[in-house]
Amino acid sequence: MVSNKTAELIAQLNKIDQSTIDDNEADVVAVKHALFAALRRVQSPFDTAMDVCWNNVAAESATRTLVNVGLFEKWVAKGGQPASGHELATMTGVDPELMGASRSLT
Amino acid sequence: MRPEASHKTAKHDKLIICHVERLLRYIAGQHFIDQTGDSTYVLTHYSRALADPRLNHIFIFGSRFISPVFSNFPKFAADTNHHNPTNLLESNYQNRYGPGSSVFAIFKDDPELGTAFNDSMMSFALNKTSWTDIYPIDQIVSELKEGKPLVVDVGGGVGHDLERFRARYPDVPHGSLILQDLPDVAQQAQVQAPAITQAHDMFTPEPVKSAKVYFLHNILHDWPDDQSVEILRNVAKGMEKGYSRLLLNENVIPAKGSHPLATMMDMCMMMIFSSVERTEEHWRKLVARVPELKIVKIWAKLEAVESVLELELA
Repeated sequence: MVSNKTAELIAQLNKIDQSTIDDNEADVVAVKHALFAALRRVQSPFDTAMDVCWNNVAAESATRTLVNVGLFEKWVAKGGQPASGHELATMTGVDPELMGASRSLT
Repeated sequence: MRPEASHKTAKHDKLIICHVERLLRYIAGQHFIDQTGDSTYVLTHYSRALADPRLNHIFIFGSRFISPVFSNFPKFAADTNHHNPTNLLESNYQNRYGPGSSVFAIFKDDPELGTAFNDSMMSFALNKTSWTDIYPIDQIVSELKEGKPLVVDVGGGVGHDLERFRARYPDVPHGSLILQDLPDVAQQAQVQAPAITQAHDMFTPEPVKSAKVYFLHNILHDWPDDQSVEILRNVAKGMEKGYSRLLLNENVIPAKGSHPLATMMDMCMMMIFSSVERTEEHWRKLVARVPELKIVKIWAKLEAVESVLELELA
C-alpha cells in the first residue's frame, strides 16, 4: 500500500487530462514537458536505461505486430467499445494467446 | 557540480561542437540531462549514473541482441500465422538467425554478448524485491517443529536466495537450511553455516521430508506445464500435511495492472525463447492438475515484480 501523501499525489495526477489544461498550445507543451521531466526524476537509472534500450523496441515490435493484424483498424471500425483480449483476438483472427487472452493449457 | 556551458564541453572543432550539441539537445528533450539556460546543461541522476560502467551491459545487450531479435517479431508472427509461440527450436530467434541457431551458443561464442546477458540478468535480480520481503518468513520460523528442516531451496543455484534467509536468521540449527541443485551446480554453491548443500534432481522425489518450507524461485517458468506438474508432484512427496509449505517465487501476470518489468520479461520469453510468464489463471490451472496440492494464498506487493505462491498439501 502507498502512503496517504502518495495517494493524494496520485489522485492529483489522475485529474490531469486535456480538459484540465488551458486550451492553448503553450500550456499543453509546458504540461507535457513537466510530466515527462517528473517521470525521469522518479525513475531509477535502471528504469530509464531499460526504457531506452529494451522497452522502446519491445513496444515498437508489439504495436507493429498488432497493427499488422489490423487490430486497431477493426476495433475502431466495430465501434471501439471495451473488449476482452479474447474478443479482440477473435476480431483479428489470430491466436488468442498471442493477444494476452487467457492461456489454454495442453 | 557546476553547470557546464555546452560551447566549452566540446571545443575541439566546429564539426564536433555541432555534432555533440545536436545530440545534447536531443537527450535534453528526453530529460536525460537538464537545461538551466539557453546553452547550459546540468547532470541528472540518470546521466550521472551513465558515468558508471555498470549500466553498460544494459545498452550492449539492448542494442546488440534485444533490438535485432525483437524487431524481427512482426515478421516471425506473420510467418507463423500469428500462433502463440511454444517451440524453443522454431522460435523468433531462429526465424531471425537461421535454423539451428542457438541463443546460449551465441552467448558462449561472443563473450561481450554473454557477459552483457549475465550482467543484465543480475541487474534484474537486484531490481526485484527479495522473497523474504514478500512472504512473512517470521511466521514460518515461529511455526518450526524441533529437529525438522526449515527451508529447502529446490534448484537454488549457487544459493543467493537461501543466503537472504540465512542473513535474517543466522542462528537456526545447523543443517536446517538446505540448498538443492544438480551435482555440477551444487559443487559451485557458496553457502554459509547453518546452510548446507545437497545434490538433487527435481525430476526425482524430494529426499528431504517434513521441511517447513520448500522454495522454488523462477524454476517453473522455464518449464512447460507437463514438466512443471512433474516437478510439483516430486516436491509434494517430501511435504507433511498441515505443516509443510511450498513457495513458488514467480511472475504472476495479473488480469490488469501488471508490473511493466514482468510483462517485459514475458516479451523476452515470447520473442526469444517461445516461452511464457504465467497469468494467475494459468498458475491456478497448473496447480489444479496436481491433486496433492492446493494454493493457500498468492503473496504480492505493489512494488515487487514477482509474487510468492503459497501451496500446501490438499
